[in-house]
Amino acid sequence: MKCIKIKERFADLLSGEIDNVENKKIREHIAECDSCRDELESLSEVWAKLEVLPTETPGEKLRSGFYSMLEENIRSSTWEKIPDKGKNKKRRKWYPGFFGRKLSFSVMTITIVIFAGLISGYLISSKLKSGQIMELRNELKLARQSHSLQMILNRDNRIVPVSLFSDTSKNPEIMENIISYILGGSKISPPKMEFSLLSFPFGSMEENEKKKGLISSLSDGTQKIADVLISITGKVKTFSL
Amino acid sequence: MKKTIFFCNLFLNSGFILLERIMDRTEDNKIMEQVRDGNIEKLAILFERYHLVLYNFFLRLTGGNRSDSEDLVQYVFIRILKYRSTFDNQNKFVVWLYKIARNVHHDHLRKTLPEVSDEERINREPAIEETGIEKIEKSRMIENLNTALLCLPEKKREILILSRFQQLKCREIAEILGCKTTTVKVRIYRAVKELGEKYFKLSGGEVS
Repeated sequence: MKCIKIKERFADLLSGEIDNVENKKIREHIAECDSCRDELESLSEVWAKLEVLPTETPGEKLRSGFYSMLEENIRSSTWEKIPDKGKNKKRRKWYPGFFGRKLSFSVMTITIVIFAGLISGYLISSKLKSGQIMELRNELKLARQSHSLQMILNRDNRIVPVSLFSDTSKNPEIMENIISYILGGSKISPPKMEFSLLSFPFGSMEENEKKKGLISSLSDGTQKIADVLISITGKVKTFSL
Repeated sequence: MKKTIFFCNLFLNSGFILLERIMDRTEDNKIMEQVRDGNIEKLAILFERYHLVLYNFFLRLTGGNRSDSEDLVQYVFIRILKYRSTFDNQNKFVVWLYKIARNVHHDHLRKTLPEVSDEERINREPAIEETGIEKIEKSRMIENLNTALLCLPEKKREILILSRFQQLKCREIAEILGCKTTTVKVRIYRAVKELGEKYFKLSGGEVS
């Protein structure tokens, strides 16, 4: 074996990576070749000398630094491991698969729903037309009257008819009849006389206090009211004072 | 006769070293796999196994800078954690580790001041306390070897440290450096030869 090939294997020899066959070849060569033997001897000495270089131990700072770094990483990776329920959970669709279906199916379903709504609406309205609607209107009228009276009553408890027709106000007999009628003690009723306050039905005038107030307003005329409607003998007029 | 015994010892030792290395390294891969799969705490085992050799690797590369070497070891383990998902079980952990270590060192070199010339290194004041004749001689030897190592070109120094101090096989070094095994062997041979020459000069002509 040539010297150059032998020298290539010196590294194997120094680092301890050599098999028996190679080992034998090198030994045979260096036994005959002075140059290679001297060189290997020199290299081996240098290699062995490096042993004296001390293996140093790092400071405690390195270990503590490593473990604090590791601890920090473990902590952060634990956070990563916790499953984010909000993220992973699939949102349930409120329209499950409806728009995912074919377009023709969707259009057909919507049309059926619209027609069903129209038909049912028509049927309901036709039933109400006759008696129920009238009842509803009356109820609404009464409610409006009640509300209006309430407004008047709440206005400093002034129940005032403000004025009467000019002819009635001039006729004391009619006034007396009205008063006795309101008080409920008189059976004498003015001919076709109706009395209403903002279309207020008589039936609701049950409280004596309110009746008295109304009478005093009618007789004295001292108190005021916003809007009064008095219907006497079929005549209806609205007064604004 | 003396020389024959020396060579016989050299050949015998080589076998034991080889066996010892194979035992540890298969275990490292299993541990690193666990780290990669999320058992980060297992990295502590690898740290305990390798921080000392890595520290000394950097210590020799940096010319004995303890503070820098500690920092560099720390950076290596930070990178292991950062890039743990890239660990391939087909490759040896130790090869992967030293690849990272080399990159960390190269990054460090880029950040630090430009390299010091050989003359400046030789003229540096020895950092060893001189007490007693034997200690003085040993200290000088250590100082000269360290200086000779530092005077080696970066690539030669690195390959020599990997081979001599890190207990790595030529094949593993070839994987780390990304070259052929034969190239590694030739480089080791040349590095040792050059180191011997530099040491010879520093010691005033005395090799031994």
